[in-house]
Amino acid sequence: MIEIQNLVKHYGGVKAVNNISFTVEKGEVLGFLGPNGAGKSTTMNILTGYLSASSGTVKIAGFDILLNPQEAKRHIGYLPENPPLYLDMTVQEYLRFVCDLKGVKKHEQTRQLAEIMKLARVSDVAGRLIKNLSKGYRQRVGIAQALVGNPEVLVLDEPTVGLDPKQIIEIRNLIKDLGKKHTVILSSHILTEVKAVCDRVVIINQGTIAAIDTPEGLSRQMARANKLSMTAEGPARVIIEKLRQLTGVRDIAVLAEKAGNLTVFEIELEPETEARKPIFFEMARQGWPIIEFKSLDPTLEEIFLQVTSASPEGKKG
Amino acid sequence: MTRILAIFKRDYLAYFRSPIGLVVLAIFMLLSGLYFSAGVLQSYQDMVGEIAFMQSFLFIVVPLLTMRTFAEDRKNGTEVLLLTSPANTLEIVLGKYLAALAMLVTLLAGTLLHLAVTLAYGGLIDFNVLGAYLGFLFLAAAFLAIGLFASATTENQIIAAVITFVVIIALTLLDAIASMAGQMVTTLLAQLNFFGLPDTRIDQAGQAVTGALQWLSPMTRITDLTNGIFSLSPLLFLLSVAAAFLFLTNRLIEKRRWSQR
Repeated sequence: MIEIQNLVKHYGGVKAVNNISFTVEKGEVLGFLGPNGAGKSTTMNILTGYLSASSGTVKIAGFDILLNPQEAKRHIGYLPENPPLYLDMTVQEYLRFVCDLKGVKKHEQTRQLAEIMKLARVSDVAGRLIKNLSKGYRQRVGIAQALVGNPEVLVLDEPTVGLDPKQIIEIRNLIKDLGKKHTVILSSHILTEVKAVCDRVVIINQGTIAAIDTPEGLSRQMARANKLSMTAEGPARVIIEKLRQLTGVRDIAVLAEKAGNLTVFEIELEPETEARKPIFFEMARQGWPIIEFKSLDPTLEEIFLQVTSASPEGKKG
Repeated sequence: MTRILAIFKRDYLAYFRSPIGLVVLAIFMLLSGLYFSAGVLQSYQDMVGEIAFMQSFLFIVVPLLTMRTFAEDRKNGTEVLLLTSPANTLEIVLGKYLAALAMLVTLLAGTLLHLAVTLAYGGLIDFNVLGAYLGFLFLAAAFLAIGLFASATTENQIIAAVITFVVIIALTLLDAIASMAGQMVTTLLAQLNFFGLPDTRIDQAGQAVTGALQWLSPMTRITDLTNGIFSLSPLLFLLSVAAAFLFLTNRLIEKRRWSQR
């Protein structure tokens, strides 16, 4: 559905996008993950035809965005980082304008708009001026706008940024629903978000692809850095000595000391072992109560470090 | 075509959604109304004079109408919507241009009331009036294209307005500027006497400069029209100016996609 080949974009003296290639299959939800300034938005702007690449090709549904922009753009719905809303229009007026712009037939507009507004849950604000809407509603109007014309490809640039937790979950569920009918590319710098909705993840860093994998694949890579944090009461040095002898524990270190003789440990586990039970029984036998026990989710930075050092592809950048 | 129409409709209606269109409309009607009333009071109504009077306000009306066109879209990010839609840049430019032009026609339409009153009370409506209207429209069409181009150069509406304002004033005063420039050339050549030219030659050079600049002046070109003398040449000239600036606007927007800065 989307083919991107050797994409390069020079921007302000640097290569904002450096030789990126990947394809997205029909019906797939692809996550685009990377820190700020990694080149996510630039790539999305290029594949929607807003910017032109310095070199490389983008094909949407078989149409080259440069050679056949009109056909290619017909197949894309795009929600940029800032939703492109006309603040002086009502939601209804605005979406009608987008219908006209995208060439939705007049007699289909009413039916299609009703459908879209229900899906994006903006029906109840249809008659209000966009400038009076909250950030969350504006974002949803932005998504509604991308859905106009029922495009096969949806490109969503950080669709949940700036929303409150409830809205984030709503938007994620919406994207999941959309993924059933559309091919979706969405960008994010939040790992859990990408994990929650995407079939495949592209990690991009400094304009190059660091890794392409399924979320499960990524977690498997992460399993190597399986870490726990444990807060316990007891003599720190002895605890470290005792626990180190257990099988499945690779390393243990003090992360912080807290009031009331509490110590926070960071425990690194061997992959594919279940060391939590032995740790628990050992601590119980010694009479050192465990106050808190939790697995440390790898941060995006850790993934980057890992991915860029582990995969041969990452070494190019 | 439907896409041009969609953009045209949005932009035209936008003039009435924000105060700016209404303010311009009010000012335009007030000024033309004042001129008309003064004429009625003197029992001498001159529509050509009224149109010429209103024409002298184009330098303020046009920037107000065009300053938002592209600058605001760029600032708000709505430009992304337009440029990633199936509409190509030419359609976008034309849609916006026609909207501005339609707003100007709307302004001018107010004076039709004065025309009707003049006609009803036995006033003189002749080809001069038709010529004046035609001249006004074509002149405004050219100025609007310049304003559109200025708006496309920046994301700041004020800068867009100021650029348009200055260019239109310069064009309006081009006759005066032309003779001044001619005199300057003559004086310089005479003072320097560098090439050892005879006086007649120096005078000719000055006149040539004046002539060249005057040729560019849109105002001199439409005076014939207001005298009821119709010819294609001034209309074609103004249309060419409009077309040239629309072309430049289109190129400018197209170019920005390729920008590497």
